[in-house]
Amino acid sequence: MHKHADNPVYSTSGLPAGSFLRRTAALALVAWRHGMRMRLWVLVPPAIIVLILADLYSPRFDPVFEGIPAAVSTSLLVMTILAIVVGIFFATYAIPAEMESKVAYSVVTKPVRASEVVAGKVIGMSLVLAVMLAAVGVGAYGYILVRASAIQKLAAERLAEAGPRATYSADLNALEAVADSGPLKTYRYYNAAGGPAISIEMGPEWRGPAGVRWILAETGMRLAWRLTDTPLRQWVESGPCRLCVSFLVSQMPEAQPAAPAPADAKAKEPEKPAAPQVLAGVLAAGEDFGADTASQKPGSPIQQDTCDIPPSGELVITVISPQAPPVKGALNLPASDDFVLKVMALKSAKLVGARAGSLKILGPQGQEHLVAALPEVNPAEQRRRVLLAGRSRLPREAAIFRFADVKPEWLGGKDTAFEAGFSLDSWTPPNIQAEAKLTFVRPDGREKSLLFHPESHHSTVLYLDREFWRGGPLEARLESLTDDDNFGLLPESVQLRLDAGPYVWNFAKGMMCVWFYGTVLAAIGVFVSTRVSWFVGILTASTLFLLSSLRPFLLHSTPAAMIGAYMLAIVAVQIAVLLFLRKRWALWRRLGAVAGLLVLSGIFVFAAMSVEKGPFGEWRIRPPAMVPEWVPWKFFVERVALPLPDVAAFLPSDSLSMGQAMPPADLGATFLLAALGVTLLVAAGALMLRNREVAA
Amino acid sequence: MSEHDLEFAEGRAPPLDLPGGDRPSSQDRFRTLLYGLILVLVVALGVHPLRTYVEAKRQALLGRSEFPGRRLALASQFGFDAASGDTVRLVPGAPTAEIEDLPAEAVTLVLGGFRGPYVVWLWTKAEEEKQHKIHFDLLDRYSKIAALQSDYPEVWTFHYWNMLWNITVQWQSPERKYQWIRLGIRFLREGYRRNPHSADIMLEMGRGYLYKIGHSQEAEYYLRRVKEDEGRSAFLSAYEWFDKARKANDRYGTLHDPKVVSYSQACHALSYYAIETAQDAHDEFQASLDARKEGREDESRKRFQAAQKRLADAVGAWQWATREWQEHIVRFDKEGASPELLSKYKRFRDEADQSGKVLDSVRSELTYANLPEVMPRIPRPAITW
Repeated sequence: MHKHADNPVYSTSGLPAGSFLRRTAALALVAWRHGMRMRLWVLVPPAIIVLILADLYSPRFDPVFEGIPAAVSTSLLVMTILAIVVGIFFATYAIPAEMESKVAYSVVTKPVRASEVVAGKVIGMSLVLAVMLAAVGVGAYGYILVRASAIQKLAAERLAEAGPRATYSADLNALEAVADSGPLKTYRYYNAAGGPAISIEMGPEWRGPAGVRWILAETGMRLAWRLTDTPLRQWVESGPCRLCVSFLVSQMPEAQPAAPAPADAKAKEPEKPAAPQVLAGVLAAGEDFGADTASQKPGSPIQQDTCDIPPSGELVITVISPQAPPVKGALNLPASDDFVLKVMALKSAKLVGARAGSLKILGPQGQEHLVAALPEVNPAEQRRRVLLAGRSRLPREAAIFRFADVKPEWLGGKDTAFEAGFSLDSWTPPNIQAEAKLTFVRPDGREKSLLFHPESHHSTVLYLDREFWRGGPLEARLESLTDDDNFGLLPESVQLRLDAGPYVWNFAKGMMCVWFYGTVLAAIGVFVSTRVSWFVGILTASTLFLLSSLRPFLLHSTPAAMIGAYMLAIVAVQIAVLLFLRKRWALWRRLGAVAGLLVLSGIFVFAAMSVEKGPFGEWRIRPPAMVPEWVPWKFFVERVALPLPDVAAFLPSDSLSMGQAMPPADLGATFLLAALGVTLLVAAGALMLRNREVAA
Repeated sequence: MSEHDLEFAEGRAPPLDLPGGDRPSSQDRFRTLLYGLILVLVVALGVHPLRTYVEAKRQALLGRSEFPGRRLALASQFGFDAASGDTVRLVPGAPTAEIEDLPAEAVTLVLGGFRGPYVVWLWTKAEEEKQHKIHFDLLDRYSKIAALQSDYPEVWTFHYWNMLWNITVQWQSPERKYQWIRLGIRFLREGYRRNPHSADIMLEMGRGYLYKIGHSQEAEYYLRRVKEDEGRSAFLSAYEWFDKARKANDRYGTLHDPKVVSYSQACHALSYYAIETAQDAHDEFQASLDARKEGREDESRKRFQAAQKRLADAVGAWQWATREWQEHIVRFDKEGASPELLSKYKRFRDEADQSGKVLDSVRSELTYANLPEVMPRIPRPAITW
């Protein structure tokens, strides 16, 4: 019986001659030559052919904008499959082949450590994979170049067809860019510094007073005064207080003159204009207006109410303590320490504004406190999105995105691209085509507007002339021109697309990620093969690979988590019993132990399910969807399933296929993760190999 | 060395016969022929029951009542279809094979056992991309899933439903939405070609025309586009698919939804078709009147004639709808449908009948001269759901 551990090299008294790196490199070279002898490179031409055929025969919704992302995605997929094949089938072959061919006898007598052997095998396989992926990548990129040229022609044809029919020229910006310089572009996003900030676009004829914060009716905009630092809470305990707010109410200038009355219309009495109304509320910070006051339960505290603004503009709101019984015409202060006064203009109020110092708090004993600060303007929000209300005429709500100093060298060679992507109101009537306007404002005040038809959930790419803006700060003002429509905005709804270098480099980054993925799989394959035969190694490596690939699914799906954890337990138990008890127990004892452990695991899994008595007294398992959160089970699943490596994390995301450049930091992180994983697997494999019997 | 060997070495004895070296004698040949005949007889005795009983039973299970053709049982799965007028199938009970199916079939065979994990991966990725609104690979994934699992009607209907309902809602412009609907229809047509007996597929196709095209918020746009693209009303297409589904289910029993409600969809589609035709007639008459008011006499007369034709179509459509409802009521009355459902269907039938009679009476007295007086009596029914 001879094994690596019997090799005097492993004695702690002295180190073998030569360096670790040289010996590992030598073994890697051997593994590389072995891979070449196995003719693994034969897989390269069929992979390229499959890639081309798969892409050519795949239907696409929009060949111009989806053609290249789909081709890149297909290329990376074929490379991934190649990596899986090499990692699972060929990496598990090297060591068992040496055992069977008795080459291992020679290796065991050489002054090499087991870790060097395992590391050499992994590095060698990784090199083979790198060469194969490079070859497939070259073929794939050649195909992508040919596709890109065809797509450019198609874009030019479509532009010629659509150009005369387009309502706004900006709608064709993206198509023009593809027709002009092809679809092979990479970009990275540059986001606005915070935002969006909400304001009102009044128009060039507006001559309103300065120093006023305005809100527009029917947009959901609110004026908000923070009252936490005021004495209101103390005063209200001793009696009702009054909040006096001086509002400015403005009738909006109409952009178009009113239609002349028909000649035969009877003269009507002029209608009395409705009193401007606002919805006012004293609410806890972070809360918003609730349901209609009229639908509130009787007896519950009143925290908001509809109020008429008198002709003087002075609105008085009575506030009482939280514990006081609700009284019509008064608002209960919220119980929390942090609270604000919010005011929202209703339809009749049109345009409502307030200056700094327009809010005065009057106490029950005649005390006065002036809130000096300007009120904040808060937009309407829904599901963490700011709602931008649409209006075809001025004034209208606008969302401002401010881009901090952008360096000119970031912008690239041609016109600058902006991406506007937001969700559109799904309740808008479908026969209304949404319209939007994006106005770019330079620090010197010059503006340029682009009108376009936005698409819900899909970004619109707009191009800004390089003559207009060559870098530096910039403001982008987004407006919705469709009445009764809302845009849901996030801070990244308007982004700057900066040129991110040659397309081939981004493609190469994707290939590198696939290479890291394949290297980790090869390390898993070699690790497994240090102890078992080739066929068992393939099975074990495949099982580990599948479970790792399904890890997110396992974690979030309780029944599948049970099955996955159970399978993992089976594999772990088998490995443990067969390997570590090999010398101590006879075969029948080991098999008995495996069977016993499997039964115990099964009982545990069964106990994890909720067992109940049915209506007829029979025992039954509650359906998986209703399994409650059983803490010990959750703990088990998370600790068992979680240690599985998430191999899919090494693969590039879909955004790379769509042209978004992968940041170098992400690539570096992927590399470090792969290196860590490979190191751990090599160490574990070396431990397993040390004690493996090579010959009887 | 044996004596014989010595003699052989001296050339005095012929070589010994090697074992098995004899040439077959005539007796052996006869025996071989006899064994062969017995074998043929046994095979024929085994195959004949397969042909007459087993194959017949198999065809009956498939819903075909015709007797199998005059071919060997194992080959009759090809022959029967040809004998009954269908084209050659590569796999028993499978649909017509076209040369375009070759790549998909080849890939399916080559994948072998890996087809399962690949399909699972495709399903997971497709759902993930749908949730994240990544569309560039979605259509391809649906096509691949359907190609690998083409025998399951549920696969086709699931993805068709996704395209028509879940993906269209991720777009704003009606053109893009309609493009997805057209892709979905084309997709399910392929599913129908591969599963020609599946009533579920036919029913879903009908539902797509009736509910998505005919009933959604964008119905006005979709109905117009379908008329432009297909040259006929979407409701009529819906009716045809529902009718196909009824006939397929009667023959093959492949419908999984409740029969009485599913079969009534055809009648509903026909009623909506009648309403649409009546609306068109009303609009044409109105246009004729407007042209007359503006002094365009020729155009007014032309429109009036077109409107009369439409009115006749509308009357015919209402009568057809009435007949369909009546047949439906009679059938499911016999089959024991619930009285509430039957009374509902009777109400629909009566409404159809009444609408048809009203239009018919208008048609009988309507002339170009009295159009302005009769116009208020020409109803413009609304499509209510």
